[in-house]
Amino acid sequence: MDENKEKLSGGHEPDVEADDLQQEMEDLARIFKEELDKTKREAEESLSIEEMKVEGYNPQTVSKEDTKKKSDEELCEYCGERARGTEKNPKSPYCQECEKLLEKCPYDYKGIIAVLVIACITVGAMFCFAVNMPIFSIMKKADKAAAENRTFTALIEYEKALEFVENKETKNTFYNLHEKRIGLYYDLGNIDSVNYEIDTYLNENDLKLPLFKDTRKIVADIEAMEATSVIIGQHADLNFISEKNYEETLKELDSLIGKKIYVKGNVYKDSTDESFTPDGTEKVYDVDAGWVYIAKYQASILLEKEAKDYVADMEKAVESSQFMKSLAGYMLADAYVKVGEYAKAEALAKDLKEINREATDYYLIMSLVSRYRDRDYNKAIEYADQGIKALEESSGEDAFVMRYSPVLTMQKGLNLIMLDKHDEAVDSINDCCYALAETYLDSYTTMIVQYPQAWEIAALASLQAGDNDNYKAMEENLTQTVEDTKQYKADLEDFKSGKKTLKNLVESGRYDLV
Amino acid sequence: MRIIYVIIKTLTLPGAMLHAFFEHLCCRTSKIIIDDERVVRFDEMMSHVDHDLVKRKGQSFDICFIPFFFNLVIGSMILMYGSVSIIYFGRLADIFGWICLYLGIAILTNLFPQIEDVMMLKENYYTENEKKISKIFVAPFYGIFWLGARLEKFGLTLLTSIGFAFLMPYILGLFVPAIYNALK
Repeated sequence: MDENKEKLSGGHEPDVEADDLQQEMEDLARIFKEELDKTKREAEESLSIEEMKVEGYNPQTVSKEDTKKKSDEELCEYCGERARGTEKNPKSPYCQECEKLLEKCPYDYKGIIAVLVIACITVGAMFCFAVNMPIFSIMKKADKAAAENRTFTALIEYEKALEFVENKETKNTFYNLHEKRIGLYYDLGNIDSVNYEIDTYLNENDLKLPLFKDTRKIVADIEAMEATSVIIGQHADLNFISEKNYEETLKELDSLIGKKIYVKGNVYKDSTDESFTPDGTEKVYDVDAGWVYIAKYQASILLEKEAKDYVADMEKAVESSQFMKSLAGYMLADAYVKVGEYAKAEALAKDLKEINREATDYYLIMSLVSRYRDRDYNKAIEYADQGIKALEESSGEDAFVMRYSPVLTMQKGLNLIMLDKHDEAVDSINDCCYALAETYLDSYTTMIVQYPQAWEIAALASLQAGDNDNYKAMEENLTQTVEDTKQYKADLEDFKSGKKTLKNLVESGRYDLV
Repeated sequence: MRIIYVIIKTLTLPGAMLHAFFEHLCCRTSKIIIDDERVVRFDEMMSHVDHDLVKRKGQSFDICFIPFFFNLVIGSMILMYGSVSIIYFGRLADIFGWICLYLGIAILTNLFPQIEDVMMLKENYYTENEKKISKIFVAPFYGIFWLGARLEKFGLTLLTSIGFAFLMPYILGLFVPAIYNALK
């Protein structure tokens, strides 16, 4: 202190006047401090105890900061100088001037431009979405059905969605829909529909798109099957199969398994052909084992062999791929029923239901099992009815109903015969014949040639029911279309002579139409 | 982290600008003082506006929720078409579809408030005098904002919004077919 005083006085000796002034200043500071403390004490005391309690304060802990805070809360939040409240809003945390400033706080013009642009795009996006809502909804419905293995519904919905696909912009949707339909048809074991989709709507360049990765695999599989069919034809012509060459043909077919097929243009060669040397330009396929087993099954069926002769081949065919399971699963189940392996038939029926919940294979097999194993004809009819109902619900009038509904109506008719309800049986079998005929409206006779048993049992059941008009009509259709009616005539003779009843004929399994 | 944040915000600039605009709008309506009104800036305040501390609880909820809500709604509306057209239908030639997809993702990347605003929300609502019902009501929002603000800080909301774009067709599939059938 003394040093400072010395510096302030410029190094001279301190005089008396300066001492007095110093003393006076110190007195003033002391008095001011005393007055200030007194005023503060009075201000603190003036706050009522109750008021402080309401505000959650303990009067003993009220500090200088609390007092300062209270005074701050009365001032404008922004400037901290003027009192709060405006004319319009006395409770406003801002003063009149700051309130005006806040109202004028400018927007960045870039933000306004961004908002306007985004608003326009939002309107456009909503409009475009609304336009696409129908196709999106239908496709989603189809996707859901496909995920739930309701394959028929999925196929129909995808077809509906295709109606909305028109312009170039929607080309990918078009591809997407066909890709999905091809996959579903393949899962169903329906090669004809797969080929139709590809040949009608797609070309080679389309198939090179990444989207068609799975389709390309399907195409390769089908090409391998088709090549296998050609090679099978070269080794064993099933049109000329007979008891004499049956065993030899089966061995020949077996020998094809594991071989390669070389395709160049329309020339098909397999690796058993020693005269052929591949030059590397051919397409190479493995012989499709499943297809070979199916050919063996066909040979057995053509010679009307018993189920035990071909059930093993069918098992191998079905095990070869998922596609074959869909394609030939119900045939194997029928073979199981005929050899009395009902548990295996039931298990296979459940597997087929997993592949396509709407396929009536399950109901067909269960109807067969109920008839042959349990002799429960009412239950068998119930399964057939469930199958028909499932078809109606899922597929409407779509073409693939035809593959299944005749088989089910036939099962119903056969079970009605077993229950001696002949009039109803005739109606049901007639329905089966009409459904078969509707499958190929252009070629009604094709179906009679392919499924003569349907017209045969229709004629026989009509005879039993005393419906002579229907009997004559059905027999006329049959005899005018089918060349070989030997079996029918033999059955008819046995029936008329009383050697066999209609029930005996039904139990022979010839009319199951599986 | 700041560089990643700025890069992500720059990549999603339209969304950042929209969020800043709504934050500004909210500051105006809630009477919060704005110190810097720029919506385009390349620093840690990108997609936000520089504003004073929020003292009232209503204001702090608004400043977190309103920009979030508007960005969510607008972003979803735009993304609906973008994701359906490009991701679901696979229409790769649809330019407007690509624009919507980008814009939707950009807007949804910039949903969340800055972490300081989220902390202020907590500060203002979780006091001794606050009613329990308010605390319960605000809790899920606080959780979402806090998590979102953290993710946004590391630029991870870009990934979540891309994921959302891929999920969008599945989410729409839950109710759009029903609405369409009802309207038909």
